[in-house]
Amino acid sequence: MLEKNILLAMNGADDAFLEETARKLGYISGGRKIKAPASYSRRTSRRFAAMLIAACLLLSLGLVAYAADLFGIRALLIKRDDMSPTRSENGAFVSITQPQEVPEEMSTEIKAKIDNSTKAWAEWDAWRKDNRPSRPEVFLEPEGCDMTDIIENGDGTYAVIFRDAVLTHDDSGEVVDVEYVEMERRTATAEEYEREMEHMLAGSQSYPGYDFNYDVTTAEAAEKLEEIAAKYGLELRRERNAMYQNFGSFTQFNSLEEITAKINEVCAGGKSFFRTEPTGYDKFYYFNEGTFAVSFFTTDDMTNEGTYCYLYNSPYGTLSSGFEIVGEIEDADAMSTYTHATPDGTELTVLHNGADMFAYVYLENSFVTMSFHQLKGLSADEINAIIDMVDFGVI
Amino acid sequence: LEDRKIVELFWRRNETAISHAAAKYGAYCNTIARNILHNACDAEECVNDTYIGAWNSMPDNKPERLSHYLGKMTRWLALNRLDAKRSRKRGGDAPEPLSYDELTDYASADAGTEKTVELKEMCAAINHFLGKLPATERQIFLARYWFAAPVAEISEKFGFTQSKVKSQLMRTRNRLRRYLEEEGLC
Repeated sequence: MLEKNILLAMNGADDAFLEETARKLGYISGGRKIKAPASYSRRTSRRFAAMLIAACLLLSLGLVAYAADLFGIRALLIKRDDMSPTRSENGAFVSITQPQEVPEEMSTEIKAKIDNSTKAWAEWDAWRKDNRPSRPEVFLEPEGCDMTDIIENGDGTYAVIFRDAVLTHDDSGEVVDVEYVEMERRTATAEEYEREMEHMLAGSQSYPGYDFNYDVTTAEAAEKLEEIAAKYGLELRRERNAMYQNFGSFTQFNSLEEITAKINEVCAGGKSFFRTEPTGYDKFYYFNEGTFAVSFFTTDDMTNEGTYCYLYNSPYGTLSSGFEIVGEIEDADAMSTYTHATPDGTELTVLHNGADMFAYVYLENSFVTMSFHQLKGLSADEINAIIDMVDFGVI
Repeated sequence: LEDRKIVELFWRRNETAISHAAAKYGAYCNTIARNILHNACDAEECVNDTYIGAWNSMPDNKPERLSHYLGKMTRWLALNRLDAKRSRKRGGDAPEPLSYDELTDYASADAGTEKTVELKEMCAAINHFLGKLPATERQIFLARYWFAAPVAEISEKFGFTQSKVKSQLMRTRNRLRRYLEEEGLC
């Protein structure tokens, strides 16, 4: 209880302390965000069954959908060396936006669209990395430096103090003390300090008119992003529109009817998006190019203990990293797969391991994922019933 | 949009305040929530709760630094959610979550419940303690226990090995415990 109280009491930490720490972590400066940290080391390797069976072509209500069957988790699995799971050794990260892999049997047309978006993102990503601001030499750490302190001198310059960590061990070899001994001191000008801050905070200044996931920070970057999107014939996510109904127990923002009407208008061309109406919404947000997310409840309990589903529609024709929404699963090896056909004939691949539950489908023009939440887990029948609430034929 | 203008929109009950706050601080709050909850969907829920929390708490509050106001709210909500989840995993009854009223009481200068008063005393002591720490030690401590940043990330950002970060954290924790004992808060 004491530890919890300390953690809670720390919420009142002085803003100045938070500011300096947030800056050091690169999370924020002057009220602007920086991208989420990705400094992880790879800890585990994972095995996955490489079972592929022929994709199933469905023609129903004018809708073309491809079931990935036992292609399973590979469609969602994020393979990056700089992310390691925290939930368990067999954990993994999955994308619930763009597909991470495409079955070989996939229609060449859809495969080409996804490949096109992937190539475009790679080009944008490379440009961003190459165009990050460079660091002033005065701040480059000498070899052996364990810590850098930056102190204002009061005359517009800054003392840059590099320190070496000197460890004291006990008899068993455990570290019992650390002393940071100054190894070198330099002076930085205000301009160099600003450049260093600029470097540290690169990516933190959101340029207006673009989804923050693009990390557009300057007019030059905006121009480049537009150029790449045009080159590959892709749309960009721009203004994000959002509606909220349920915010835990304390309020409602939009009415259920209001959100349903908007969902039908935006996501279903005026038809009914849901075959069975949800009991409520947590949120609905959309971009004008066709990306949208609907988080809906299927139980009267609209708290974290209720059952809800997060559905995300990601058009192939949109420039996307595929990392806009990332989930972490507990045991990738234990994930079992089956397919489920909805009443409109759309066949989804369903993944579940008892703790994590997902479904996805490659539609003709977009990839749709569903992430299910129920603390006690859901049976296959319960998952299927939630999937059947949605009319995929209208997307 | 400047913080002052966003806060003004909140005060005028203009709904665009939320979208402006989300555009400017969404990723920041999301990072805090993700660090604590390790789940993207939960984190997003938590950040959404933060926006409506801001909506409900302004007025009466008029924060000067919206980033920290929202960040603190996100952290509080994330810790609550984590606490409830852990309790359920242990199979026990979920403890009564800290209420939103407690949060707003706590965020404002008004005295609230007994628990709030207790937390405020501890908060003042912790701030005093933090103020006496060397800057880097304070930052590492807050990076881990306020922002819930992984040790690996702190190690990278501060230029230490992970073992050095861990030993530093252990030392600061011990010092804090001794300090709180001296203050009669532990």
